[in-house]
Amino acid sequence: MSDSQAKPGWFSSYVWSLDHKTIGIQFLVFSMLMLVFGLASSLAIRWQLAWPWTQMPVVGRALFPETGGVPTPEFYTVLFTIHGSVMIFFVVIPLLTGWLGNYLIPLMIGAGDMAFPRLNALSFWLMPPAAIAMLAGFWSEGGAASAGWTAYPPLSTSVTTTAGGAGGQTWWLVSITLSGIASTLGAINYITTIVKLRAPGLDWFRLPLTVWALFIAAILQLAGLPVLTAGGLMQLSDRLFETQFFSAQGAPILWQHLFWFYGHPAVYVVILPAMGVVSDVLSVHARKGVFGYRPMVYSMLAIAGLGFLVWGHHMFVSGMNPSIALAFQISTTLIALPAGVTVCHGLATLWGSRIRFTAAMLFALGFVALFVTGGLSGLWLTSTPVDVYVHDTYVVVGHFHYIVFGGSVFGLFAAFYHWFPKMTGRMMHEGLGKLHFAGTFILTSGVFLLMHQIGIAGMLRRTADPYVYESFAHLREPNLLITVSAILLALWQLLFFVNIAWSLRAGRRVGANPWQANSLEWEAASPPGHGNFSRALVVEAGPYEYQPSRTEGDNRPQARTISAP
Amino acid sequence: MRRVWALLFAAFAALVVASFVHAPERGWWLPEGKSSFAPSTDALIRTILWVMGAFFVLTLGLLVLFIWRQGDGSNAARSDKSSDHRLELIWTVVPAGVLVWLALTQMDEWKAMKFSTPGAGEPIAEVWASQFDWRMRHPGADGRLGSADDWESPYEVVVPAGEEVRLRLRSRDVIHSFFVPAFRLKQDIVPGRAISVWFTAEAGEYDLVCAELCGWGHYKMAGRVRVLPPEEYQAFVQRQNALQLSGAEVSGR
Amino acid sequence: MGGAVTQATLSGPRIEPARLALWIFLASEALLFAGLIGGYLFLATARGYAGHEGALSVPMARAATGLLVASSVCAVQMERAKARTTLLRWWLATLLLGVAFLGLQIHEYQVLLEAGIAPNSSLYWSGFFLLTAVHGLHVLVGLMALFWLGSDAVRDGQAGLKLELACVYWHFVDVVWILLFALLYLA
Repeated sequence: MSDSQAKPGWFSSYVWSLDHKTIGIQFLVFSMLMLVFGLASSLAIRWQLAWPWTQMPVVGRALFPETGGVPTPEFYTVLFTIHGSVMIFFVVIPLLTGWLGNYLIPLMIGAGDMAFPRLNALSFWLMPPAAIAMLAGFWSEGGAASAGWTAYPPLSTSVTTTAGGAGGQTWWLVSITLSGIASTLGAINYITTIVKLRAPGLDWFRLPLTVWALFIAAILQLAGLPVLTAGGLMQLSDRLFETQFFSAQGAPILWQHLFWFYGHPAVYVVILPAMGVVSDVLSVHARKGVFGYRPMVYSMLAIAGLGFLVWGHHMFVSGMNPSIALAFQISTTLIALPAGVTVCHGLATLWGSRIRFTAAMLFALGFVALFVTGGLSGLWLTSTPVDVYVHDTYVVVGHFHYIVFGGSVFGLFAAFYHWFPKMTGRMMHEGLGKLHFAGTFILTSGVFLLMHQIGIAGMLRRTADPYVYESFAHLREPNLLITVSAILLALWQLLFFVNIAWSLRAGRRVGANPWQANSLEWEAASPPGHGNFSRALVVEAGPYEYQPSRTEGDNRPQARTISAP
Repeated sequence: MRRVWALLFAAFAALVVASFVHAPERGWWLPEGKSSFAPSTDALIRTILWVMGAFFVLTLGLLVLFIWRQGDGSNAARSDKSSDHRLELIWTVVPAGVLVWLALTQMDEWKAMKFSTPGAGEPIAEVWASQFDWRMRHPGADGRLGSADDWESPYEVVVPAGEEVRLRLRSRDVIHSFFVPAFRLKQDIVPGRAISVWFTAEAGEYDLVCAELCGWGHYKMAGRVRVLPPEEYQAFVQRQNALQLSGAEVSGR
Repeated sequence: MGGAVTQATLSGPRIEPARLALWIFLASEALLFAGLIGGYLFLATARGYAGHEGALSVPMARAATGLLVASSVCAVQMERAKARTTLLRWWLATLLLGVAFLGLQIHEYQVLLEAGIAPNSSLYWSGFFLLTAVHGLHVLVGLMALFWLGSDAVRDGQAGLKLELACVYWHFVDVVWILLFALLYLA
């Protein structure tokens, strides 16, 4: 901290800190810890699918003493429930909104902090209790929630149809509601901050696309989460007070409407910020302005707007009115258009550019390749007749992992490599970073590509042992390949953590602007002190003024160079 | 370095294309279609795959080309150009055209599947799903469900080949899903509702799979659809009806 | 709140950050009730309701509505108060009317439960209890905010921005009640 004032104590520096940068990093560390659960459960799922009903290595004997280390079918349902819930609500959403939003928004708009620092701290400190509630299920009667991350009733509301129904499912609902409140508080803060605290001269159309994307994602959260909460309250009341909302006497389908009204836009909550980050990273490291800035903003707005009109495509086989299904098919097909347009803009940005192959840039390029792949495989799911066949198969699993892992997580990696110097004042090891990229890029497809083909072969998700069916018995081999790739992919991430550990101690020290970038966060010291900027900023340019035709001095920072008196 | 990275991205694209080319050879692809829905669904899957393939090869081709050409150290032309309305119009209108065409081509098949549910009256059988098994209820000699001469069979539903078969799906507990991969047919079974499905199938025996998570035993909630040639089917049903009337135990077959 | 604003001239519109944040929050609250009411209506069309079949006392609910509306009116007077004594008077009136509303709600629950009507009695009662309970929770939160911020204002002798925003929230809770009253008692 470069602050000349008396240093705040340990507690208010690292625990109840009101500094947006600390809160951002708290989100980062918290999500990385939760990632351990998400990742471990995914590897356990893959173990069961490759070697069903065999002793699970390392953890098997501790988890299943009564079976000698062989996983039970009950536990398999817990695994994918925890995997989905933790990864969505405690890893990708907190990383893309909590970490990026808190850390970057004030810095990129030239503000000293968020509009409401206390609210901000509260929004973070609701997350650990939410996570504890999620894990508390494991110690409750019957074990943790096991109705899938989508928690379809009446499976999820009945206390007898699953083991976790006894208590774990209630904990799950408490957890989701708490994390929803946290996200709502955060979103209110992001929007107010962006509307109110932009530096002088920073018009809406001079905002970096990352800020635009975080702004739109916050609106999506605010509009979607209350509806999920409404559904959650109904589930809670069905479970605790025996109300009939989602029972056979009520309408089980109602939950699906409420859930997907949030659940689908939630995908855009995790993809739009990644898209914004990638646009910025592409521009900085290709030394060229984002192609078509305004159309990019409009496309992201269109994705967000249409995002609320497509939830029904998750319900094509739910028995919904086939005419309504047609309407959802059309809206879903339409949303592919703005998504495709953003890809075209990404490509056009590269045309005539001067690409520097940094680790951040490579992850951004990887995002483009994988987002295209996952986006295109989504076309199958827009089609009602095809969806009747592929619904709930591995096509769906492959498609959304290309989007959420290949898209969101690659965007997060790009962000991490790009802003690590800002957060710490040190560079990451570029060689290790590139190696990390190369392996991660190829192994991602090793894991998620073949899921499309086995899905087309009819293999279903959420089945502990698909091979009991004659139809799927021959799919052991591709599943084995997927599992081996998944283990390698997980191990490969050690490179990333080694790189972080090494760079924190020995990374090359950098000044304020190591990438010669334009946006305002690079005006602050690395790492920025309390209050962020040592001078008053006046913005007089957009964020994307680069000249690839020059090799030196090819950028124009957004802020006026000489400070006002 | 730019060539190394361009080749890595090219390798990725080749991997994706190769996986779709080789998967059918290894049997990791559509199972043989045995219902009237199968040919059109499969054709649609292939059409969409070709559309995906075209866009994929085009985008990845450009990406690889740009990485190769524009890498730092290459002599490629540099340009500051950051908008081009004609280009933007093209990449909006062309995909829009393709997407609208795709949406429209699917309409007929969806209509055939959903808007032309054959005749009213009693279904051939009522399929009752519960954790974690199937029970099929047949109308019996009087042709009406819910009367004393109904007969039940566990696990397997028997239907005639080559004619429109309608089944009514019901659940006793949670949501299940009636999925016959060979028929390209899937329908959720929702407690509190009776949902009908129909199909026209070829003779044979097919896996019936529960496709919606229904609890710990979801993975083993297997059933069977046995499709018999019409004469055999008639004989079978008559035998079962007679057995039921005589009060004898009804066997599965 | 808003302590981080250090620059004199910013690009944003001229609205206090707290006021903007409150309106965003209210939009999100409105969507929560939209979700609940939408669910209630979905069930009404999918399943049909028997309704309350005279088990609810409409005159009493009308009186409760009157209490809450009166409380909102008092809140407006409280905001406008110039002197500490008038502020104090309107503040107490707002709170008392709000508490009286909650009291009537609790009384109604008691009557229903004694008559053997519970959330699991029918689909209609499921909706009735959940909607009124969630609304009642909002009334409670609103009362707590009014109590806290109002006592600050009484100490300062005038209503500030914070109390004004608490009153906006209070009006919102009022409007939601009128919707629920029409939906649950009259429809």
